[in-house]
Amino acid sequence: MIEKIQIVIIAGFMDAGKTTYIKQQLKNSEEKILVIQFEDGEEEFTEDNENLFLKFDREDITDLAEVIKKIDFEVRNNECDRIMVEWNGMLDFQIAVDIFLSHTLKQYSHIENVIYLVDIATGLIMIGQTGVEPITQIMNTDYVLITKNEEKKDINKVRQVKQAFRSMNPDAKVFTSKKKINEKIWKKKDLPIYYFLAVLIVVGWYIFLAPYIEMGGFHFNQWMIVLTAILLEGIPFLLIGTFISAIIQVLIPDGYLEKIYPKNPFWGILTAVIAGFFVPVCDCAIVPVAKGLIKKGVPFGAAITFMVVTPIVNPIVIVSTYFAFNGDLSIVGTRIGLGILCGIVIGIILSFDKAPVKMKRYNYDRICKNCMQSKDAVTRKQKCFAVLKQTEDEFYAVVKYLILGGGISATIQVFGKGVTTAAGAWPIPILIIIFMIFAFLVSMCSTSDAVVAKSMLNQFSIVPIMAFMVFGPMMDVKNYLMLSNGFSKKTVLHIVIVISGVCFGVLILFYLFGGESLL
Amino acid sequence: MKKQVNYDVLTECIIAILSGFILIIKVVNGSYLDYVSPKFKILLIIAGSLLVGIGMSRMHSVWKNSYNSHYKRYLLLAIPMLMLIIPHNSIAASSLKNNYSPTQVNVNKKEKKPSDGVNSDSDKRQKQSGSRNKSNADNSSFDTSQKDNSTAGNPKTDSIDSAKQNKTDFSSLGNKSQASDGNTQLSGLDTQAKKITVSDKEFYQWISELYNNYAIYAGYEVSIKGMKYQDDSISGDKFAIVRLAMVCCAADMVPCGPICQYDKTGSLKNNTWYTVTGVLENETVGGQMQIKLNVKKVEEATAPDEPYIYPY
Repeated sequence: MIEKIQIVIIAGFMDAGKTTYIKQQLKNSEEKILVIQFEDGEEEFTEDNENLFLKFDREDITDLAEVIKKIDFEVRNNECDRIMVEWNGMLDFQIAVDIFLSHTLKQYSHIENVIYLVDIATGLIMIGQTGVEPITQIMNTDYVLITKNEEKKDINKVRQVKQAFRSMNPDAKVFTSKKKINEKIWKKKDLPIYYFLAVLIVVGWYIFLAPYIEMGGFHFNQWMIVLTAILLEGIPFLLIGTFISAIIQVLIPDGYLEKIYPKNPFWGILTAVIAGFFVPVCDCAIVPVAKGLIKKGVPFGAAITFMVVTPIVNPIVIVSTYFAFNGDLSIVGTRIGLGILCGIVIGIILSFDKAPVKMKRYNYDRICKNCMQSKDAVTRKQKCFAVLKQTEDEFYAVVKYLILGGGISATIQVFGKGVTTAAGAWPIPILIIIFMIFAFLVSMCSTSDAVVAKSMLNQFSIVPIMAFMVFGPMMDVKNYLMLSNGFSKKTVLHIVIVISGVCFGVLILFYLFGGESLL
Repeated sequence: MKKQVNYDVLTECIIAILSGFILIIKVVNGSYLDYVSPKFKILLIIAGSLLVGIGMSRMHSVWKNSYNSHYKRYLLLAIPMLMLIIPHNSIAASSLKNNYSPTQVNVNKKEKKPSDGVNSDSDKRQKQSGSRNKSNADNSSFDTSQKDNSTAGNPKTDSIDSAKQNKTDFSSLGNKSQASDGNTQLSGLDTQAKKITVSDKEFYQWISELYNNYAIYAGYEVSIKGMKYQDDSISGDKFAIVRLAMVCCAADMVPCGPICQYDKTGSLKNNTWYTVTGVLENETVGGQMQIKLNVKKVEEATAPDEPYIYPY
């Protein structure tokens, strides 16, 4: 088979330095490169004999078939080794896909990598203001290169950019140095088939080795079964939770909740507690809603109460807790009670404390592919599709946390008996802290965390388990990341400290007032 | 332009639909019971249908080109689904039991910390379960901590057991159903011959019935099938004939069954199914009444169709 011609697409805004970057590539490369420009930049290429140049402007894009024909003609008549595309920052990436993955071009070329260039000073502001098209590019990019960062002074800014890109495209790798990215751009990516092969090999070895592993007293089989059981229990709740949350996101118009929410702190906190029972949104989807509330003028304290209480008193969470703990209403009740108590105290503290709330100018949560899809959805059929797509995306985004949490829990149960037996006897306050940290790190969705919590009840008393179930929905790594997307670092830290402090205090009180005897 | 298949989306559809079908098939053929208790049936069917729906709804994008792929994230869902399929095909039920009992004896869900001492712990649990079953004053728990299993007589399990802390709670599981048990019609009862033959299906019901209405059945000859189980407090010429009770999922199995007194206990193998026939007696352990079988006859038996019992 003939090696296909590699295509690298360089995307980004006009002044992000795309042309400069491509020029450098041409200078350093021995190969004959076809440069296709979809951009009218200030900087022009100087035609040379080594490389080929092709240029399209906005009008050309209206007739894609013609564009493809021209590219095809160029490639067929002048042999080239590689293709570099300078993609216009304001064009939907789907157009690039339609051109370069078209039947004609796909025969002899394929897109190797997409690189998004972002100007450190202006990039983020531009992205926040220019609508949908740049986001489509970012969501498709493999690498992000931060440009115009010669002084390398602004570490904070780099971190901001990294965070913003992670929220939009978690798979993209962000680089600050051209040197590092140059090694990558022509590099082939692993074929997806390898992942499947890897899994098959693991499975094969597992079947082959399982009996021997068992003989060594290593209870791998048991670990598998415990983990499978936890996942089998958690997945239905997770799916139903994301499904209902998707329905809400698609069917309730943007900003509706913010509009009807009371603006007075007292009523705000009360509404937060009551509304939680009727808003089946888990902690994975609540942060954007809370941010929206604050923007619309809902008191900060009330909005945060809403954020921390809703994931606990949400009907699906109640049902899953009820199921996981065998219909033990005292556990369900305690979880709800402690959650509400924490929420109210947090709300009151944040209402009275005058620390300034700083929000960032740009906010990406709402600019996502699916929200766009859901806004486009007008007919009932389209809405159904939008709901299912949103469910799928959210489900895939959080199922990894369930697998991770379940894996840790199964490991503790099956292999960590000795350790946890010792740890189980540690003072309860220390265990509470450990479980709060554990909850923070594993970032489980509140719809399924009860299942994992329950499975640890064999080794630990109910108080630290309760810490896991009360604190986890309120604050964890993914919530933290989403919060830092919208608020200044100081404000986020403030929120985290208040929530953790109140939670710890409430749980200690719970312990002192006989929480141990709950079971 | 000619239409081409987008393999990325196709994979996405196939994985979602297959996963959905796996969940539904697991429910239909009942093998989900190896992992979770029957109450999850409806939930699993809903989840399965949702996955199938999601997969179907994505079908229309199969003809649409796209660049970036999400194979890795679909693979994520493939992990639990593979786990659902594999162990079931490759691991026989017997090795599963081998794992669970007695090396991994989880306790009743009410059980918590490892005990510092048997007495204090059982006192505590007595209080706990007492508060849960207010109607039942003589609620009893049987709790032991295992450190050494040298008397068990089975070298293989000994070595696995010795380092582990095991506990078992035989009867408090039974408390829940007692209210309705007074007039339950259970099969296998022969009042004239004073004999009870416990069928596989009614294992759990009979255990709680015998325990709760001990006065009625004292002196009956009971024939019951289960696995031999021993630990620290049940050793020497005593063993328990147990089945694993799945309270919620495979993560919380509890061995459950009566204690047996038998002078040839040493000749029985751990984790093997036996049909035990003995006279119902009782014994007081830690101030609590326990039912006990004074064994007359032990026969090796085949495993029941359903390996676990589901008390709730």
